[in-house]
Amino acid sequence: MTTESGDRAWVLHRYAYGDSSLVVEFFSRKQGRLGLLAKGARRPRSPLARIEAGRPLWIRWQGKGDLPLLVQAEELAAVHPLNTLQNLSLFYMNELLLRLTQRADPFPEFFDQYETTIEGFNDVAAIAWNLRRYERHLLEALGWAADLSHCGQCGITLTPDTKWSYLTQTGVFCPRHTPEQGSVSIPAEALQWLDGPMNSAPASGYNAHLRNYLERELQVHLGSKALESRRLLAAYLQRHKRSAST
Amino acid sequence: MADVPSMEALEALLRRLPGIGPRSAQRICYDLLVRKRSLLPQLAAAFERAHATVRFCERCNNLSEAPLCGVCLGAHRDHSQLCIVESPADLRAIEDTGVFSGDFFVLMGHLSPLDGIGPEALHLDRLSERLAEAGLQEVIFATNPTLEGEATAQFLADLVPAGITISRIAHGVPVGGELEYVDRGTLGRALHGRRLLDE
Ligand SMILES: [Zn+2]
Ligand SMILES: [Zn+2]
Repeated sequence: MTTESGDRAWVLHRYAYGDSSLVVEFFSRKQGRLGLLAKGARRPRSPLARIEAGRPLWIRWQGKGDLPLLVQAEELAAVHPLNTLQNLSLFYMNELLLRLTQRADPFPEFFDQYETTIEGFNDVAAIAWNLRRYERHLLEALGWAADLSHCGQCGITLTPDTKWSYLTQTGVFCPRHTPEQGSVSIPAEALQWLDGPMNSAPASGYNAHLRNYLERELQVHLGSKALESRRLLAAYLQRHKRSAST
Repeated sequence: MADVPSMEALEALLRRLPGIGPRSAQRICYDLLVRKRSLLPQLAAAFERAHATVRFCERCNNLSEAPLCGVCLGAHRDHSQLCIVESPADLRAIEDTGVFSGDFFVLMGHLSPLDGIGPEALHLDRLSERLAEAGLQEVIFATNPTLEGEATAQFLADLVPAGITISRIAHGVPVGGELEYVDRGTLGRALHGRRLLDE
């Protein structure tokens, strides 16, 4: 059975398969995560050799079962080489998706948000908050996003200029109802940014708060195994912060 | 073939080698056991000897029988250039082009965070020593033209001391391919046409 029209998709990861083939893990618009066998793709002259992460593709495949056969992958846009930060950020986005989603579970809305995130990479200064928005959208898509607009205790609406707090996997709390144990304080404006459309940069003072909040929320679902790409990204940023300040 | 278990075992091992499927494995077995029996002890001895004597060069990780490999001991190498590759097979591929006479360092892999492979796997302590050697003027990253190979080059470029030129082979090597399989002419042109790495 050949798919009639195919699907728009991005490569999440590629694994060597046999001597010359690849198993390619895609994120496709209509199918969600999809593992396909790309026969002969490791031969330099194979038309499938160019299928890599970071570029939108139109893919067609054949067959069902565990490992359908990739029959065509057409690049939908010109490919620009990625710089280090873009490259590592892309690894991070893909590792998150691979770790937290399963095959054949479509998220068409999140697929569009995935594309928007990568488009946002053109502005290198915007990468950090684009990743925060991506993390929040992923939590939403998976049904794990906490209600950020009301105090989990009294239901009062978030008000600016106050220090709220959050408890991972539980919710956010107004200054009067800060849980006694395990909560982390966060400015109300940072929560408001996360609760809004997130289509422009948050005030710079909130970046660390947002990063910590989302990392904690995601970690619950990731379990004890650390994300290697996140570690790499952090090591890279650390190194560059140091060289920038000296 | 239940009555010839030794042959079955040999076939099973052969099938684990690159490029050998079940049919080729069977053909090789019959060939060895029927027509070329005298090859068997020779093969066995050669495997054993290679296993016992071939190791990794202490300076560049290339395959070698001595502490230092033939490339590192070469009398006419240009020590101002250091080419960084992913595997000994890639080193060989570049050496075979004949257009490069500098030094090498083999990373023995590439960064692949999604497979859990981080910088720890890449012998960075020894690479740093090589990068600190006097007289070094240019570092050429000849990692695979894959996303992982590119990220490896970019990440390691940060380790190169200021003042040393950093370049990346690119031209003509198809994106997504593996260096080892690129024909030597293309690879030679890629070395000549290397571009500066901008970070
Ligand atoms: Zn409250
Ligand atoms: Zn050597």
